[in-house]
Amino acid sequence: MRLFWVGFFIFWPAVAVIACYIAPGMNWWFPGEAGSPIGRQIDDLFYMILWIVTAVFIAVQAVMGYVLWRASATDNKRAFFSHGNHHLEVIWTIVPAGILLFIALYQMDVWAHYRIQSQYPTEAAKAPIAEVTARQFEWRIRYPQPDTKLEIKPQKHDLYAVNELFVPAGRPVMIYLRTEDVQHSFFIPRLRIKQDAVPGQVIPVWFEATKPGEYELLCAELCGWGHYKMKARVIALPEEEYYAMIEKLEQAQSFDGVPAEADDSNADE
Amino acid sequence: MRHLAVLLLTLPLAGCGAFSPPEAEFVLRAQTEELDSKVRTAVAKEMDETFGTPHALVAWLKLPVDYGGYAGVTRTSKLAGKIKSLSVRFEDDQLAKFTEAFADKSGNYSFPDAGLQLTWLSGPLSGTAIPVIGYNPEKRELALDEAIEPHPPADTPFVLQAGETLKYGRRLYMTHCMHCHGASGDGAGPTAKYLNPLPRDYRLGQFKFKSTRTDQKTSREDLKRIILNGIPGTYMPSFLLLKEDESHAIVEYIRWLGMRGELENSVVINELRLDFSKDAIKQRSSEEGSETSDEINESVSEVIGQLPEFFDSYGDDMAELWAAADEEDSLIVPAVARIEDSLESRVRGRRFFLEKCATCHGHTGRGDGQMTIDFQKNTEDPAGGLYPIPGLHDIWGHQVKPRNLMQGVFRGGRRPIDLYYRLYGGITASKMPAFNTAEPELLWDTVNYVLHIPYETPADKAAYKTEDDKYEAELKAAPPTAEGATPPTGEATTTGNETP
Amino acid sequence: MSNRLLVTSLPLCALAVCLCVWMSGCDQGIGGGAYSDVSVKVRSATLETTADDGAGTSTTTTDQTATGSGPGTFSGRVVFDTGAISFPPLIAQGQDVKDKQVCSAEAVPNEKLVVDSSGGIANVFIFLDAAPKGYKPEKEELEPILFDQKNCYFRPHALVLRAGQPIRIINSDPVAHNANIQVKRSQGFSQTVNSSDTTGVVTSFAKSEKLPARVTCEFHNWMEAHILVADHPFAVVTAADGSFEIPNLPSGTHTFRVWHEAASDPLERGLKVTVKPGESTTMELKYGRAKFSKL
Repeated sequence: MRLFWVGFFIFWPAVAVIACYIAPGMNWWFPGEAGSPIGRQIDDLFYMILWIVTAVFIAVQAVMGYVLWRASATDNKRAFFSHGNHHLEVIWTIVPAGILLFIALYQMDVWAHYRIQSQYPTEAAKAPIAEVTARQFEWRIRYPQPDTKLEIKPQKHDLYAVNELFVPAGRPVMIYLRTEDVQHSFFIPRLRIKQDAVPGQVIPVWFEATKPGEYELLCAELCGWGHYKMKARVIALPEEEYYAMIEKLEQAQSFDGVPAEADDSNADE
Repeated sequence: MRHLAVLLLTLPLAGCGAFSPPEAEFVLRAQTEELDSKVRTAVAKEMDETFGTPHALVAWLKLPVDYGGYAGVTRTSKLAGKIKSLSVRFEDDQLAKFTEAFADKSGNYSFPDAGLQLTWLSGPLSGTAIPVIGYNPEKRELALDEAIEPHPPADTPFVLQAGETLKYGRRLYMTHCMHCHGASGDGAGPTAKYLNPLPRDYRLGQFKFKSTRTDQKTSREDLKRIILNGIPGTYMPSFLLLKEDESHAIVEYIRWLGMRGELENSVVINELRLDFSKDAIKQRSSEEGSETSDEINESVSEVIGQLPEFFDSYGDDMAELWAAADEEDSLIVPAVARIEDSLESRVRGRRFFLEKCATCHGHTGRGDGQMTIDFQKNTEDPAGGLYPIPGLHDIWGHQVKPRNLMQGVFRGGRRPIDLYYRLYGGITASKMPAFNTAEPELLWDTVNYVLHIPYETPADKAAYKTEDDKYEAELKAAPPTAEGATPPTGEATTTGNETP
Repeated sequence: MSNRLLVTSLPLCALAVCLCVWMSGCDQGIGGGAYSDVSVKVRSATLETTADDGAGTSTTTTDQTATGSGPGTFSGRVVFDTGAISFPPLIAQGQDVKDKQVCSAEAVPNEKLVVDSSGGIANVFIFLDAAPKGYKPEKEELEPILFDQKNCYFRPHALVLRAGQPIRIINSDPVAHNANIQVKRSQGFSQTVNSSDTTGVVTSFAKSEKLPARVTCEFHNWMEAHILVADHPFAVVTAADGSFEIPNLPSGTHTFRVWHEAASDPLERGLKVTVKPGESTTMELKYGRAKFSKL
């Protein structure tokens, strides 16, 4: 019995160490590898906290195992009773407080970069690429006409799309997020971006997709019975392809139903 | 002992017990329910045989629906003996589909464990199905699980996995669409009552936003576009992430549900309601010079005997219309390319708008025209009364609001061609008429004007005002024709109450 | 101690399990469950006719029994039992309505029920439900019928159109109209006819209708007319004095419908008329106010 309980308390820290060690490689904790620099920073913060917690957990388990081993060694020795020990109380208050303070200070940069508007990447903040309007149960997207700036108020030549957001890859981009009805949440798991859309507000959100590809966009706020189907895709494209795609969108949007060959007279416009 | 009792008491509460949700069923239209009970039962039976139930669908080959599966015919006819392999011939497109679904890279076919269902479409075994467990591409032979007898003659048509697309469509429909549009496509699913506008009731076979000419049905392409893009301004969300085969299956299932309701409706409305509704039967037997109950019974059994013929002939008519909608020449193609958007074009378009559209859409396009406050005749009311609420009503009997064009939200799409479709083809199901007699240039002018309504600038308004004045002056200079007519004027509202 | 705990917690656990099962819907294809088992049966496109079917034995699918030979005529008059009756105009001259310069330049008559001084009812449809058995339509080129919109009402107010016969819808008014012909068997027709368009729009309906279809104008909600599409020539509308004549009827007993727009049910569902070769069967059909419930 003695061996069992000591082994029991030693076994779990061992599992924890192994799990922590192989977790990043196995992609256990995250929905895929972070697709953006800020996403990697956020992951790093997570891992840092994970390591701190693991270290504390192992330490506590080790002490437990030791105490069990020692206390059960001699049957008739009375245990030391430490309840109300002032020094111990001070130690285990100050140490966690210090750790928390460290975490709070350490993550401030990332947080500011991620959420504080004055810290947004200037290029992205200057030229928001689209307005994303959440609606039960879809994402409606409005791009500015190529070579114009996105205005909060819809403009005549804006381009419209639904459930498919094109972004240029490899640089930060900013969107305006709003909602037409209830509260939704703009969540691109791979890019580690999650921002609530609040009725009546236009919220600037920036993110970056390092590599071209397709990213899932979900609603992360229970918004009604159709919440589960409120899915869209974000498609990151190399810069030129992105502009070509917007051009294509513009052409599709101004389609007048006349087959191309018959439309030559107007094609120059 | 006690906890065992508790356990037993809670079991009936579980899903398998008394509180399980109701079975999905295809409901009949209200007009069918109003028929004499014998006729109603006969219609219900005929509907079941023609379309089945949500659990046992019927793929009626008369309808232009892609039910799925792989069609082929037998090649040889063996006259005697039991056989376990069947020489067959597939058309190229069917074979390609079949190969893509079941063959691996080296050309070996492998089927699911239960095999594929082969359904005979005619011949001695017509209607029966047998499992197929393999296919030999060299010999072009299907391996059967059990021997069949008699062997069908050559060129007997069959389908493998008949109704696969219909089944798939049903599954997707039940997942994504049913809660609003209802299991029967009656637009009365569990969530429908919370929505405004109400979800579409497919059972008249009519849809609003189509690219086909005014006298045509909706094409597959139109339905797909609506499913993928959703309808802004309503609760219909976009299902853009559906895969190609998924949206195809849903479109086919929706068309099938539409045809189901439409056929029921046309048989009941045209052939049965007049003489065989409960009221009609009551009248026929109560009026002076009335028919005897024997006479009525005889006519009832006669009409019941005719039901299969009605379903057949009305089915033919309907199938023709639905098939025609996907023909190339049903699509509206403007005779001229879009007129370039300019102030002059918009001024011309606005004149057209004031003459033709303002009655419903209002002089400034706010959707507040005169027709929205007039009471309209109820076309479905046998007593010929008015609708209880003012405004326009669609063929489903619901009030429809002419679009407020100030909002720049266009339900059927916002491309210029989408607006052209609406103008040229109208919206048959609601009260929007087709303007296909107007000059195409003028329609493009109107499209330009309508697209610009939300973005009118003071300069535009000044130009419109000038044109109004000029128009008035011309009218005064050249007095109207003998009829004493002056065309409708829009100046009163266009200059007075613009929002800044 | 631990035994007691087990005793009390087991029913709770059972309850929780059952609740879960209940909420998850038992996972066996309940109701409209998208994943429940579905079978598909194939139904042939052609109708399988069975000999013992009721329709097979009955020779009179539509009540007409043709006996004898040679055609006859059915004629007569439809009258209002209390004699003449008149209604004030639908729109008085100068009344403030839409497009009043045109529409109330003259009064728009109320044509819901038109009874002349001698009591004859106009615009009553008298028609066979279906072509008589054995009737073969002659191949004839059907002349287009003119349907006008003038002074904001339809002219004529009631007309019979043969299936496939062209109808030319014109507009003599200097304002646009929109004829919406609500046929049930063909796809409906709703099209704007431009102001003063005397060439108009030509259309036709391939399928016969059971009852006259209502025609309305989307722009002027008082405008109304009725068009019956028939696939045989045995359908007429009574003249202004209520008289009608249906010639060339195969001899035998026919069942006519008599229909008027102001009556919510047909005036006659099945009027039995026996036609003898070469003779004319005459009838006076008299109806009272009570029949015209839509007035």
